Amino acid sequence: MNTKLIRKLPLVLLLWIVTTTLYAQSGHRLDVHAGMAGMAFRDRGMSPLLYTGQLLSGGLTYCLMQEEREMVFDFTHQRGVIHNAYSNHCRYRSLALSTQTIYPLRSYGMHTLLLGWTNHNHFHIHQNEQFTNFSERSDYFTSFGALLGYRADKALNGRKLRFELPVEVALLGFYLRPSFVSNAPKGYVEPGSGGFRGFLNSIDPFVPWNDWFIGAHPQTTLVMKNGNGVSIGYRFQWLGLNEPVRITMANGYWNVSLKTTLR
Amino acid sequence: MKRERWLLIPLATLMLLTSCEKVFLAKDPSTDPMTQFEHLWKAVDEQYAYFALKGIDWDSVYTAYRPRIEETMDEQVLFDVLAGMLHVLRDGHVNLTAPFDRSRNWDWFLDHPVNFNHTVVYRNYLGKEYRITGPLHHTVIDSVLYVYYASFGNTISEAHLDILTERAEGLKGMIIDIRHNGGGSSGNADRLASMLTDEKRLYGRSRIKTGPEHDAFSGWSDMHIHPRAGRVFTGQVVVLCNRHSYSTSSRFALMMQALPHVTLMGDQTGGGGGIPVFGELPNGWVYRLSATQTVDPEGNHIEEGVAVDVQVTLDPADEAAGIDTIIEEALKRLGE
Repeated sequence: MNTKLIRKLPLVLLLWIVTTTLYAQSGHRLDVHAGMAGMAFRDRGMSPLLYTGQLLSGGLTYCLMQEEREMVFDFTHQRGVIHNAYSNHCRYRSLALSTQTIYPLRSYGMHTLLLGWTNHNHFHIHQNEQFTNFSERSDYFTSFGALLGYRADKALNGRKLRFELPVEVALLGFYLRPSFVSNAPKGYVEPGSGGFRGFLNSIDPFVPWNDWFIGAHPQTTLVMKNGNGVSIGYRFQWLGLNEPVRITMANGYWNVSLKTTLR
Repeated sequence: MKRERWLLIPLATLMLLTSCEKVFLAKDPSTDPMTQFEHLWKAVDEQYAYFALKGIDWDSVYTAYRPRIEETMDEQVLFDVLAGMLHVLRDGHVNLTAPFDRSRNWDWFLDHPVNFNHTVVYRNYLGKEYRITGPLHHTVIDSVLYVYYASFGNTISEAHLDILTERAEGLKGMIIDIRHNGGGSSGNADRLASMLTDEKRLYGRSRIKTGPEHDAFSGWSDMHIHPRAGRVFTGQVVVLCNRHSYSTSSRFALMMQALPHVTLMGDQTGGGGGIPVFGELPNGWVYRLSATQTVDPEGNHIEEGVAVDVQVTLDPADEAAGIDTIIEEALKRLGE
């Protein structure tokens, strides 16, 4: 990218926030978010050692805001290199599609209690660069869970400062993990297996207390007069899957989000 | 000021969560010698594929080696003990790699005649005018295309195969020399073999460990050679092997056994029928061990090597005179 464009980028983004309104139905919003994620990760199928590092992260969020509820659809992509204490490293990449359905439950002045449910669909792949064979391992999970949240709004000279803290926990779901040696899930290892039957033979149920996926996403947003906004947030997620060998991951994604109201 | 206290909530939350990813995961396990020993022994116990074939009692290995582990031993001594334990497996695909050394068992070629002289091949057969097509070094000797391939780790492309097949056209045959080829990517073996067949052929079967029990394997999966889309060579071929033709070279030799117009010549390959899986010890050392098995269509394992059709030994007197007995025999066979 040329240097002039990079220099102009903050100005362009600022103008976009202040001036842009896309004309569509009322109550829609599109967010673009980007930032860095701190990552700690251990896949006992690969190593007993903890791998940590910073991941370049970004994505899009679409919000449908109705009087009685808000629906949030988010796509996030992360990639980067993670290291263990001995400088061995893995290339890591993840794709996540998630939805949140949020019901403002009760308001106490500027404070609002939120309740809702969530759905997450996450795919991770990591490749250990020093392993010549079977170097790639990938995980996929789908989960459904509950969300409890807090929101506070503060008027600021015609604008609004909003703080939100939704906390979620997965209650049901399923996941696919690498088989004992190969990255192929167990349903795809047997000769002649594959397709949907292979998928059914591969999935393990996401069982609460045995498997964990919890998240907390504090976010502070400055909402402009035209409904657009800019926010700074931190998405913390913790994952623990047990079959066939334990994988644990903690991910903290610091992000800046530009929010555009669609009219 | 009192009204602004609510701002402390997001600040406190952010500070609480920020950069605490590591806190939520257990610390790395201990780096003491016994932990390394237990971890490595268990990894081999659960993942190694050839206990039954080699008649190895891994529990007795534990009993023999555990007393040698002492809490005060230094890294080099610990490494030597662990390397000794792995040596019992008699497997070239089993290694332990530390920053200061790499353990190995190379008896599969060191205990046998070399049957290859690099200088003789390059000075007296490839000579000054040989062509270098990617990793394939080739020349024409007595109307036979001689090709030397030093490592399956070096990538062969379709373009390379186009050049070889074009050059071999009209010649009496082709010699593919994989002596001292220690293996590499099976994709290169598949590609080279695809040049030598005009139909899909079954050449072997493989299976992979699916659980920690010694007999926990997947079912056998068929392995086939597929003809390439471009030109193929179906004339007489002699493939030269020695004990240092290992791993993917053994697999390539197995492929060649399935082709009626190919003769394997020299000494049997070194073996290495298992694809190695890698892992790490808590102290960061990296190990690898065979986690799959490969057999021929009749069910014979290739872990100990693939037998040749024509056994030929490099004669020391020939070698001293700059003659490669095995290449000469191959040329003679193709000249008949």
